Amino acid sequence: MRTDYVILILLMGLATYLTRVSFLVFFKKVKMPDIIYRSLKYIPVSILATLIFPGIFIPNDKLDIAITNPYIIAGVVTVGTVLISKNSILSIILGIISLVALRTFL
Amino acid sequence: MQLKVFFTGIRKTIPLMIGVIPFGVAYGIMGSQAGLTIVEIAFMSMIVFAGSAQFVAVGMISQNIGFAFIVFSTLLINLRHLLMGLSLSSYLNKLRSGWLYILAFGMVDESYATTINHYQNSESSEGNPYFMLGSAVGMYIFWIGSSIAGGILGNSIKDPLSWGLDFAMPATFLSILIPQIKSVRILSVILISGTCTIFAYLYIPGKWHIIIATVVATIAGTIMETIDERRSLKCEQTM
Repeated sequence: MRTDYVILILLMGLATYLTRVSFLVFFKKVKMPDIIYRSLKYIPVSILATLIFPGIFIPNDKLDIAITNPYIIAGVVTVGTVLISKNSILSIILGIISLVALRTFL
Repeated sequence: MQLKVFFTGIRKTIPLMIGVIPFGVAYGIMGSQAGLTIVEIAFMSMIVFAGSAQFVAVGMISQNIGFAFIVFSTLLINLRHLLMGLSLSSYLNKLRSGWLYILAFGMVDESYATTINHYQNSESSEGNPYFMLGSAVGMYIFWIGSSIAGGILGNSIKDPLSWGLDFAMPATFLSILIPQIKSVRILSVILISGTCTIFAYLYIPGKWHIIIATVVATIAGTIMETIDERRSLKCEQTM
């Protein structure tokens, strides 16, 4: 391994670790104000939405909100399956299968 | 007993562990194209353990961009972890600090989403650290393994992101998110976050879309909750 790359990777690791550890440890010592406490339950659903929406509506870095976008159809299949069957593994598998099928046959 | 929780953490993360494979392979391929050796590719996955930051870094390395700028970009891309740390902290603040320093290293998007969902659905207000540990270890092994596979395969395989497995991540997150929609307010928060994300994703580089959308949607949700509460309080008073 080249020394300069080792240093780069270690510094990248440090930068990443700092973002992960700081709030986790900081809010162990500091009591959060009530309003922050109240807002906490909206963070996970918001973050999940930010991870899901681009993957479905901006595939390959291009906005595609037409019904012909296979990711949207596969997303509908996933949501429909989880609502009907309450089975998350089944919904993930059906979602992936429907995406592959749509890509192959469309 | 704790071992069982550890394995539950791994088990609940399996779809995301499989879903990360094409991304790890793609990163490995990009890394070898950028001139990194297999050992360097693997070392970065072991030390940094952050997919999008690593993608950006190898992209910048291949364009000969300065190392200081790469480290600074890594910091910016990963600022979203602050929000994840904030939301996890209320479940983990009873733990010894040592645990937090270990768990923080493994807090990636996938282990965060799986873990916070598990903690929210469990009856206790305190999260079991072994669950998060299992989830993180599962992601860690698959991330490193797929990075190495990509580095070895190099250019000899077709674009791994076209396998269909790239949908495993959004599909898994959907299967976690949908059952959480228990009120119109939560649904509104999701739609606000999703809309903001799409606009920010298209117009702002980096990973700012996650931070901007999460902050906007979380504030919106909190305001809606406060208004609803005041309204129901008023109703009670007038009755």
